[in-house]
Amino acid sequence: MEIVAGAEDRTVLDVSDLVVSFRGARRAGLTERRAVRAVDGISLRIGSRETLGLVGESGSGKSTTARAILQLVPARSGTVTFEGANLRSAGRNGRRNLRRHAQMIFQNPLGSLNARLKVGSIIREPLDIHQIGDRAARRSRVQELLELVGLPADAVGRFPHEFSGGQQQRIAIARALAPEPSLIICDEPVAALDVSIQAQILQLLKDLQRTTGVSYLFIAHDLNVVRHVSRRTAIMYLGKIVEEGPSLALFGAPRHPYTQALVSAIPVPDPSAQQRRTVLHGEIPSPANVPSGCRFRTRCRYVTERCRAEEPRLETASDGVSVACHFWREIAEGSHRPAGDAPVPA
Amino acid sequence: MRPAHGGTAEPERATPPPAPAGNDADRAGAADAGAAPDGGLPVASLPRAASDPLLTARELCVIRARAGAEDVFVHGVSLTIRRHHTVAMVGESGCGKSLTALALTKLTPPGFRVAAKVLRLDDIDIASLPESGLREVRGRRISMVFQNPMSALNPVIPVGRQIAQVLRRHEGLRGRRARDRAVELLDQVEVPDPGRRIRQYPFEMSGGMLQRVMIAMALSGGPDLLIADEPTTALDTTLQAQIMELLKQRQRDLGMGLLLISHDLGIVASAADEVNVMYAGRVVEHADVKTLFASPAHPYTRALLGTVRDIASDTQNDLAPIPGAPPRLEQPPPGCPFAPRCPLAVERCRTELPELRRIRARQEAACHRAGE
Repeated sequence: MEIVAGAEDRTVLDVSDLVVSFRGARRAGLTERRAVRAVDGISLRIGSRETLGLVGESGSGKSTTARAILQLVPARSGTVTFEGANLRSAGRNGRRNLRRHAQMIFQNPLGSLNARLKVGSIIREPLDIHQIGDRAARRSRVQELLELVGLPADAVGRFPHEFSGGQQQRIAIARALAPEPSLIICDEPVAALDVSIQAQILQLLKDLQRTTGVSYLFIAHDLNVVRHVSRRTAIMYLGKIVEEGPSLALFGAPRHPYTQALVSAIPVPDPSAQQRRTVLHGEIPSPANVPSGCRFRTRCRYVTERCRAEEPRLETASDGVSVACHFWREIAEGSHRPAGDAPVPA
Repeated sequence: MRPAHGGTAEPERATPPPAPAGNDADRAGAADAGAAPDGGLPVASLPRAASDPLLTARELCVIRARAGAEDVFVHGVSLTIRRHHTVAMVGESGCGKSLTALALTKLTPPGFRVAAKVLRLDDIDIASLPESGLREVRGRRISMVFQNPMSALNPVIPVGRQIAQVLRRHEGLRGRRARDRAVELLDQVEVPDPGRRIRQYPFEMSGGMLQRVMIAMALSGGPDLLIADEPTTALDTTLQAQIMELLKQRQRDLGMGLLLISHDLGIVASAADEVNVMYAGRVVEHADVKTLFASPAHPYTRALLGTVRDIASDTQNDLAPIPGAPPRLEQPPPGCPFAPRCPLAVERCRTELPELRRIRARQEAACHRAGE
C-alpha cells in the first residue's frame, strides 16, 4: 500500500465505544451467568505514522482490546473502523484487508514463531497467504526484510530457537512487516528482554516507522518504554480508559490518581533521588466484580462518597488530556487531599 | 535502615577508616591491610558486629568439565555481603549472574563444578561442606527467590501445603502448627486473608501474590542471606514497587543480607548499597551505588546506564543502544570480553585481559582505559 508522505492526519484506526464481554463462570446456586466485561466502552484513534501507547496493569483489558480490534475475539458492541472501513459491516473483503494490513507482535517471540519452520518460511508465510508477488519476488522480499530488521541473510535457513530473544523479536517484526501493514499492534514487545536489547528493539521500531510509515498500537506496562515511543498514551484500568492524551503532557503532570500512582512507581535510575512513592495498595479487582461508581475507588487515596455512587466520565482538559476522575481539578490544585493513608476497603 | 554511604558525619566506629573499594582483599585492601580485613566497602552507620561480613566469596569460579578440557563460565568473582546490606549484581542475560548466585550454595546444574579460594557464610566454610551440610544451609541460612513464581511452585498442591513442606523440612513443624505458621508467614508478607489463601492453588493467585508466597517460603527459616534473582522482572511496575518495599521491610526486620540480581538499573538504584556489574562471567565493575551511578568507570556500565537513562528521560530522542550481544560464557573473545562492542576499544583491549583494579575510593573496574 502506498504511504502519502506527511499525511499525518489520516486515521488508520478508529475504535469507538468498544465493549468485549465474556460469559462468567457458572456459580453454584445461580441460574444466570454474569457477563464479565473485560473491555467496557473504550474509544481510541490512531493516525498514520503515529504511535498510541496503551498502558495498564495485568488484567486491565489491554490485550483483549488488541484482540477485539483484530477481530480475534468478537466485540459485544461498538465499532472498529480500520482504513476507513467499518469492520462489522465490511464483510469478507474488509476483513481480508484487516488481516493483511494490521499485524501483531507479541511479548514472547519464541512462543509466537512456529518452532518447526525455518526463519525464511516464517517471514514468507504472510506473503504466501496473501499471494503477494511471485516466488522470486517473495524470496527477495524476505532478504530485504531480514536486512531491514538487522538480521544476517543466512538466517533464512535457521530455526527460531537458534536465535537470542532479541533476535527472535526481530524475526517476529520482519514477519509482521512482510505484508506492508499500516498498523502493527505491539503487545508488550520488549517486556521479556534485557534493557540493552529493549533499547535495540525500541529504536528499530522507531526507525521502521520512519521508513515505512507504519502506525503502532503499543501495549506495555512499563511507563518508561511507553513514554519513550508513544506520541499519545491511554491509561486503562479495569476495562476503561481513565486518562488519555499527549504522552509528554500526561507523564509530565499526571492527573488521574491511578496515573499518578503508576508514574510514581517508575524506578528512577538515580540512587540519590529520594523518590516520593505513592505505593499503590492491593491489586486490580476482578472484572467479574467491578466496584460501583469509579472503578479505581477501592485503591484510591482520594476516595469520597461520590466516587462510590457515581461513575466519573472522561472529560477533556484544555491541553488535550482527557481524565475520568470527579476530583482531578481539585487534586491538581491541592484542595482535595487524600482521605487517609489506607485506601477504603471495597 | 540502609547504611549511609559517602562519608557524611561518621559515627564512632571500631574499624579504622574506609578501605578502598574492593571485593578482593588481595588487590584493593592491600595498601592498608587489616583496615577492612574482608576488603569490602565501609559500613559507617552500623555497629561493629553487624558490619562483619556475612558471606565472603573469593575467586569464585564455575567450571564445566568437557572431554579433555574445561570451560570456565564464571571467572574469579569475589563478593562480600553483610547483614542489613544489599549487594546487587547487574548485567545482561547470559552474563553469569544467576550461575554465580547458584554457586554460592553449590546449586549449579549437573556437570558444573564450583571452585573458590574462600566461600564462607559467617563461620561455615561452604567450600568444604559436604552435601548433607549444604542442605542445612540451603533454604535455611541462605534462601532464594526466583523470577517466575509460577514455575517455582508446584501447580497441583495448595500454596499453604507447599509452605508447610518447607516448615516441616527446616523447622520440624507438622499439622496444625505448620498450618498456623504458614498463615503467619503469609500475613507477614501482606497477603490479604491468609487463612483462605493457604488453600488456594498457584493458578488461583496473581503473579504478585505468588511472588509474596515465594518470599514467605524463602523467609520461613529466618535466613541470614536472601538471594533474590530478578524478583520483580515478571511483574507490573506497581507490583514491582510493592515487592521491593516488602523485601526491604523484611530485610530490616530480619537483619538479612540481600543479594539482588537484576538487569534493571532503575531498581538497583533505589534498593542496593553496592553494585557488581557482570559481563561474560566476570565482575567488570564494583562500586558503591552512588559512585557507580555518578561516575561509572567501565564502558559497559556506562552503556547500560546510558540506555536506562535515555529510556527513562522525558524526551523521545533516539536511543543509542549497545550494538550486538554478550559473548557465550564458555567462548569469550581474546582480551577484554567487552572489546567487540566497546566504543573505546584499542589494540591492547583485543589482546590483553584487563584485571579489576581500583579507580577511586569505593570503585574498581576491569578496563584498560578506565580513568583516562
